[in-house]
Amino acid sequence: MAQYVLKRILMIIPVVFLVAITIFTIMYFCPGDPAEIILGVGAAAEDIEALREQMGLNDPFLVQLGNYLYRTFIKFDFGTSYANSVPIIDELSHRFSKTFVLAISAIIIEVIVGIPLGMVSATHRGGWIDQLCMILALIGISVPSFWIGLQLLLIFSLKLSWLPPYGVTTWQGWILPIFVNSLRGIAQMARQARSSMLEVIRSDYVTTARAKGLPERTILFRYALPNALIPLVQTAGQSFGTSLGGTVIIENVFSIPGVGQYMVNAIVTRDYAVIRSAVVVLAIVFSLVMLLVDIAFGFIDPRIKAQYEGRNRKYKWRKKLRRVAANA
Amino acid sequence: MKRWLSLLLVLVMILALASCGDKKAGKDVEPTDSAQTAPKTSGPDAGDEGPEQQEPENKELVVGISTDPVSWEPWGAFNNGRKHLMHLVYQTLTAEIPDLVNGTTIRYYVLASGYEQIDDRTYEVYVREGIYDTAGNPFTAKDAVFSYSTAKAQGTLAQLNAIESLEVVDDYTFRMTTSRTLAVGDFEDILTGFNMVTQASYESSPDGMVTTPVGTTGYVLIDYVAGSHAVFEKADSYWNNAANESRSIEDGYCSTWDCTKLDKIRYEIITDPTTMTIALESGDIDISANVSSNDLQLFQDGGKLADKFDVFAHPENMYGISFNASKSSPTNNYNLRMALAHCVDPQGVLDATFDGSGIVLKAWAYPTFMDYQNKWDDQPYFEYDLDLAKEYLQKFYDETGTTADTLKLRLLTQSGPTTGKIAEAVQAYIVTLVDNPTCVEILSFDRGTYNSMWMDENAFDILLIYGQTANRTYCTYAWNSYANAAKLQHKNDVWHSGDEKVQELLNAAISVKTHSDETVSDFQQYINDQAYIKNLMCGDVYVVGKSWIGGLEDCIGPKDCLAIMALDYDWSKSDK
Amino acid sequence: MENNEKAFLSVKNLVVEYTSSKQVIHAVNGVTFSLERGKTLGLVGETGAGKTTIAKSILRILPDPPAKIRSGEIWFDGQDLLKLSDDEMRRIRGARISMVFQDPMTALNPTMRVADQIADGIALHRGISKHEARHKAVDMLEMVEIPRFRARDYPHQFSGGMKQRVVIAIALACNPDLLLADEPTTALDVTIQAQVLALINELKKKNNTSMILITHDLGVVAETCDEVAVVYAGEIVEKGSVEEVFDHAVHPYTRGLFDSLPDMSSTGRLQPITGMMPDPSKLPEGCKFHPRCPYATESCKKDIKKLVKVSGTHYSCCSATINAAAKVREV
Repeated sequence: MAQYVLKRILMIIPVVFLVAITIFTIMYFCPGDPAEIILGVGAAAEDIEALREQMGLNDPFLVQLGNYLYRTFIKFDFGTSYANSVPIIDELSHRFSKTFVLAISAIIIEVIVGIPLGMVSATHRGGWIDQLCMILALIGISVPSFWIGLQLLLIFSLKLSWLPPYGVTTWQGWILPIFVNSLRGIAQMARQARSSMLEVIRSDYVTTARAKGLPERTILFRYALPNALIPLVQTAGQSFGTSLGGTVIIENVFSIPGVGQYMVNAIVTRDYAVIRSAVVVLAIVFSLVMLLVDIAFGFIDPRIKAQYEGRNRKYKWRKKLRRVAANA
Repeated sequence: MKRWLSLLLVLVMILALASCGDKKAGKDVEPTDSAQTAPKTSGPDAGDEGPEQQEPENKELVVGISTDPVSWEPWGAFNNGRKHLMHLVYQTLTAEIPDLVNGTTIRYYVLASGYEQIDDRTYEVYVREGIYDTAGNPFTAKDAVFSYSTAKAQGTLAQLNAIESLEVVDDYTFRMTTSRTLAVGDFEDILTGFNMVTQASYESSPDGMVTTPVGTTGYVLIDYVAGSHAVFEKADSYWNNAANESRSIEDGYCSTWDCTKLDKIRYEIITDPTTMTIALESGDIDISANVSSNDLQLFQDGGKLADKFDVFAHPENMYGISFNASKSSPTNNYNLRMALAHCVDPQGVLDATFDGSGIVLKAWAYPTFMDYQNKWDDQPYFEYDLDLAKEYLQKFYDETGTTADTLKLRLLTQSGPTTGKIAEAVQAYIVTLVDNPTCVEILSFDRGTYNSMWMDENAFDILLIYGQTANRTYCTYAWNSYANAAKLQHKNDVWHSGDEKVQELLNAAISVKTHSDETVSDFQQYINDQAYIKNLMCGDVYVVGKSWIGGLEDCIGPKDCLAIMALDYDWSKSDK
Repeated sequence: MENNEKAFLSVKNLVVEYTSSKQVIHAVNGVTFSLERGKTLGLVGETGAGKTTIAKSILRILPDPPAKIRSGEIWFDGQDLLKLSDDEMRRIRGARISMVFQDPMTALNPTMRVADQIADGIALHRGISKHEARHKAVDMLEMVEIPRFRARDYPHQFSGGMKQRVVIAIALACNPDLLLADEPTTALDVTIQAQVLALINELKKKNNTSMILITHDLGVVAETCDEVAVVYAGEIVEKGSVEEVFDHAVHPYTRGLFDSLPDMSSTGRLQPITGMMPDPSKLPEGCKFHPRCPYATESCKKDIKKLVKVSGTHYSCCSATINAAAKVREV
């Protein structure tokens, strides 16, 4: 297992490298000239040219690519934004921590709330709990986050004055954004957990367990749950990945300076330096999260663990021993 | 059962979304009138006994802004957050503020005391005496020269590329030589456009003042959390204390926004417009210039919160439709351009996008510009006349053989909520004229792509063009930006006309030597005759402040910022 | 109705239905049979006849929302199982009655080690510690000829036949009095089949376990069973000892089954029974076999047939084949 993890960590490097090259190439072919945007409408042509020269935008593609890769991966210098002199790495880490908090808390809440909700639904299939949970899940998935965010703001900030309407400088400021951000995730996780659990409950090995006369609790926790969790680990990981980049709306509604807003702004202003750096950082984080997901998989499902370790190594080793013992 | 439930929920959601949107309830209210009458001033300078005792220890104001300034460096890129904050941090040599009440622009001397043009390309500027920054370092001519040189070396500020050399003459005088003869207003822009710092303070800052700005104003930045808030506190001493004594320009020293009547100002960064409204309503912020037009009814007369707030309208950008006159576009034809110009009703567009609040424009200029010709207001300017438009359209059909079914026009606009609505309104008018719902296609792109597209004569037929108002002083600025073939990258004007007469008249208007009422009106007249562009209207945006804040009609400060020092505060009525 | 006092297991008039939102599926329609200690009963019939449902009803592990036991009695060692509480039933499951399932590939929990799956039942029913139970589990594994050192492996590391042996180990771990074996060898290939059957038989003999063997393979019945009952459309149409039924089959369906067995000596065509088993949601009136029966008469379409004694312990609900043969002889 340790070997597998090491291998996966090493594999992140070429993946991130490829991502950097891809994003660089895409941005290169995007219309829109950063020099023009910086200088503004009506700037003289020669001024724009001069700035392009200075920014190195006129060099041939490969030269620019080479420079960029060298600066990023060898000198670890993400540079400064085209618009101002703030070093990108500072800005990114500052913003990233906020987005990260949002994303991580969403995952935790999804798992803690969504999975039991789904399990309870599944075990009381057709009953009122099931109906209620599924209605809540439907609402959670259908309602747009900005709408529910604003509605909650109106209620809790304006009418009740319990929570601040913007910003996350105090811990109360985090309550609403985290809640709203997790809603969709909880709903999805509940539905997934329910269907996964339903499938597992109907499976043959659960029937075998029942035929053994085991109490319902044991069947639920030892037989059904571990098997039902397997597809959910995947869902949780993917959800984390998308929420890393997708918190733009929440960040906007609650005035949280996160990566989402940063990137959207950079795209509109063609701030290539920011876009590239942000994408590279996101790629690294995403890869690491996926690795964690796969490791979790390995711990839950022994079949997958065996895949990681190479088939039946233990067995072959023991077989050899047995043969030796038999011959002795 | 689940299906019905889902349908019901979808209906509920649609209803809720719709109710979040425009309320057409208080539409007949005229916000500009109500706010500009009766200035509510009973500020601390009223000279009475009463208010003094009720003034709070700490005069603090909380302002809501919508964008994070990100960096505090003196010569960084423009963004909406910096626009409102920079005037508290740095000062410039001069400043130009639109006087919306009288329809003109006023020029103030701030750090400079005067200037003179010595010859074609040399200017001499005089710096006031006794200026020092919040670190105590004195500001003299050499610091001005230092500021310009350092800013120019950054390479990102186009206007400074025109400076060839700077020379310190003495402590309070310096000379600037430009590499080419400047157009009208360009030199003034150099004086008003760039923040001044002292060399001593700038060099002692570890990061070029990105996080630790030191300027010559009376305020110091004491706390900044990126994306969240910025707090300013009054400095121990300020070189321009005279500004606190008198508010009159005639004294030569101060400007209305340059005093230090507040002890503390807190800027809260709120990115979502609805959250901004909620923050105003809940009292978390006192004033904001970024309130969404949807929520204005709440604050205007007749609205739920009208008694607690005042509203002031000021112009946003001016918008117009500009035509592609090159061979690759049907708008090459004069009759078509006339038809299109006469079929769009600017008042209608104003109604559709700004709820009717704003003015209709009569030239490619805004009334506060210093060289705006008043006679333009009395002249007809592509009057909205559908029958006349149809006549021109028929002439176009006859000349070219195009029909209502084969006419296809591309309307290029920058993407955004306001520009999107304007483009749709224009599209609706043209569709009514041609009577073909698919004749106009809207191409909406982000700023970068939009900029590269209007320079391509094959990319569009009609361009939704926009220009600044409060932050500009001369008509020629916009003309120079869009029509100067020598300057622009595609070596043609925005109409791709290749028309030499345009260049001739433009050069006459923008040259300092020949800039006059005549040359300005000649240019405008010519482009009207050619029907190259019809400027439509300028909508209003609003400042909303608590009712104990008065003097809102002065709230527009340098570079279109919210000049909170220009306002009057009745602390007895505030909840501080 | 017979009344077998010696019967260890006695099923009386069992009726089971599956209700879905639209229709009612009549899976078991009044089944009655009994079984003595130590004997093996074979339940034979086509797929979908209701055999598995009968077995699952005895253990009461039918999936509850769709399936419902409508009426009947299941007497096991003096108790009516259908009247027991959930707790009491749980004590019986695995300890006194246990089941071997059809598909070994999915019958085991993929996330638990094999020994643990055997041990948890033992620990529960014998009341011993997990540690001891695991020892016993490993002994069970050896009994089904799986080496000790494989005890801590996961199910995916075993082949199909070995998995089935584990399932058998689970079923027999607590020495049950009654074993329900639902097509235990259908999913396995022929060579393994023989092994598994032999194993079951051996273990059964050792502990004097009664067994109900569900299968559609008449050969297996002949090899291992003492008695046989033929199930069609949720009813038992013929039952008796293996000799009685195999040598003197009387019901047209049973005859049809035997006739359809391929005869290796002749080269004639196969003789299947025409038609298909009826849709359990739309069962025909009268005798359920009449649409396919070569001997059907008008009364067959209306009258419900009941089991009638033919001889000894041989019962059949229709003797048309005898009558027909007699008629032929008469003619």
